[in-house]
Amino acid sequence: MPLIRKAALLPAQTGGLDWQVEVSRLQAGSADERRAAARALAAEPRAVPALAAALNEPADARLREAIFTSLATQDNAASFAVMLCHLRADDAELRCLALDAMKLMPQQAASHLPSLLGDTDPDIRLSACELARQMPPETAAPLLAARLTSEPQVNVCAAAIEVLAEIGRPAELPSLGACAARFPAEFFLNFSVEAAADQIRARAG
Amino acid sequence: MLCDHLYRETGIAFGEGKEYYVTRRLTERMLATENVDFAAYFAHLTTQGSAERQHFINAFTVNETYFYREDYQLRCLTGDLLANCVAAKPPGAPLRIWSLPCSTGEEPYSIAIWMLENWPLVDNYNIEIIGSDIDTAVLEAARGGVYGKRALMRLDSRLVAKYFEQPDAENWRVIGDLRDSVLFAPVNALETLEMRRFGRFDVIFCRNMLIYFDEVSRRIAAENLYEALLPGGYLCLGHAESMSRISGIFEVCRYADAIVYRRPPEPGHG
Repeated sequence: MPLIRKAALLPAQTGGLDWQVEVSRLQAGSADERRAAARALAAEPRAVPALAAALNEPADARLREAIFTSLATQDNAASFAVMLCHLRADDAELRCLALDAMKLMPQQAASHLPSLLGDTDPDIRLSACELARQMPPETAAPLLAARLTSEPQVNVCAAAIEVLAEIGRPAELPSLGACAARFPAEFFLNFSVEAAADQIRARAG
Repeated sequence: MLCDHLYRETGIAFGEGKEYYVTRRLTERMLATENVDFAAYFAHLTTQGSAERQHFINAFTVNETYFYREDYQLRCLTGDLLANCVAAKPPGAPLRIWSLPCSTGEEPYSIAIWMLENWPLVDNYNIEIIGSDIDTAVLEAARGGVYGKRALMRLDSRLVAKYFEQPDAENWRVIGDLRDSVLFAPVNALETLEMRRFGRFDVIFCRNMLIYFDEVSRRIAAENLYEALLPGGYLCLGHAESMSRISGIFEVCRYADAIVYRRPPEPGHG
C-alpha cells in the first residue's frame, strides 16, 4: 500500500460555444468529433438545420441518437418538425429514433397528436398511438377514444386499444365498445377491447 | 417553481408524491439561511454566485449506502471486465475506474479493497480510482473516510482490521494509504464539459443515479457516460436499472455475475 495511484483531472475547458465551428465538426469530423459536435449543438437553436442535414447522411446509430437527443433537448417547434419529417422515413431505425425522441418532448407531441392521429398514412397513426402512451391521460385518452370511432385500420385500432388499456378512464369505455361493434369478425380486437375495459374498470375501482 | 429549479440544476425530477420529501428539505434550508418565507429563500437561492446553490443541491440528493453493496458487480469486475480492459495494455499503463455518484465514498473504497483482495494483477498497472458526486458535502465526508458500524456490515472482520482503524467505539476510519489512493471530485453528470475534465475510463460504476432523472436527462447522462468511457470500456448500472430502456448506444454484455454495458471497441482493438 498504496497500490493505487492518485488520479489527476484535466484542466477545465473555458470559453463559450462557437456553434459554427461545431457545425463544421459535425459535417466533417471524425466519428467521435461528429458525436461531440452533435451534442454540443444541443445548446444552439440556430444549428437545427445542420443537425437535420446530418440525419440525412449515411451515419452510425450513435451519431443519430446524439442528434435526436440534442433536438429533443432544444424542445422547440423547429426541432420537433425534424422528427415529424423522419417519422415518415423509409429507414426503420430512423423512424424509431424519431419516435423515441418525440416522446422526450411531451408538450410538442401533445400539440401535434390530433393531426398525427388523423394522418392519411396508417403507419403514422400507429406511431401516434405509441406517442400517446407517454402523455397525460387527460390529454391522450379522449383523442385515442375519438380515433376508435372512425379508424378504418384494425391494426391502428389495436394499437389505440392497447394504450387505452394503460391510460384510459371510464369515459372511454363507450368508444371501446363502439370499436368492437365495428369489427365483429375480428376476434382478437374484441378480446383486446374486453381486456382493456376490464383494466380500466379495475383502475376506476 | 422550486422543483423546476432543482430539475434545471441537477436533472432530478420530483413528481407528485414527493411533497413531503421536498417540503422537509426546503424547510431545513430556509431555517439554515434564516429566510422566513419561500419567496425570500428562492430569491436568495437564485442570486448569481450564491453559495446556497450547492447547499440546496446537497440537501436534495440521496446518500444512503454501505461497503460491498451489490458485490456481484465487483466479482464481475475482477472476474471478467478487468481482463478485457488490460488485454491491450502494457504493464504500468493506467487503468481508470470512476464511481459516480459515490456518495460518502463507500463504493470507491469498496472497489479499491476488492481489487487489492481479489485481483492478482493489481500491482501491474497504475490504477486510478475516482469518486464523484454532485453533493460536495458527501465528498468531504468521503475524503474523511469515517463510517459507522452499519456501513461496514458486509465486510468481514479481517477486512475491517486490515483496511480500517478505529478512532472510537462507534466509528471506523479508512486507513490513510487507502484514503490517499482515491481522488474525490464533484461533478454534475448532465454537464458535458464538467464530465470531460475527468478524461476517459476503463470502467464506470454508475449505480442508482439515472433512476432520479427524467427521460431527456437520462439520455444526456447516458451520452456523457458513453463519452467518458474508453472504447471497449464498461458501464455498471444498479441492479434495477437498464440502459436498454434509455439508449441504444451501448453494447449489452452478459457475464456470469452481472449484466453490464460496454462502449463498443474501435475497429482493430479488443
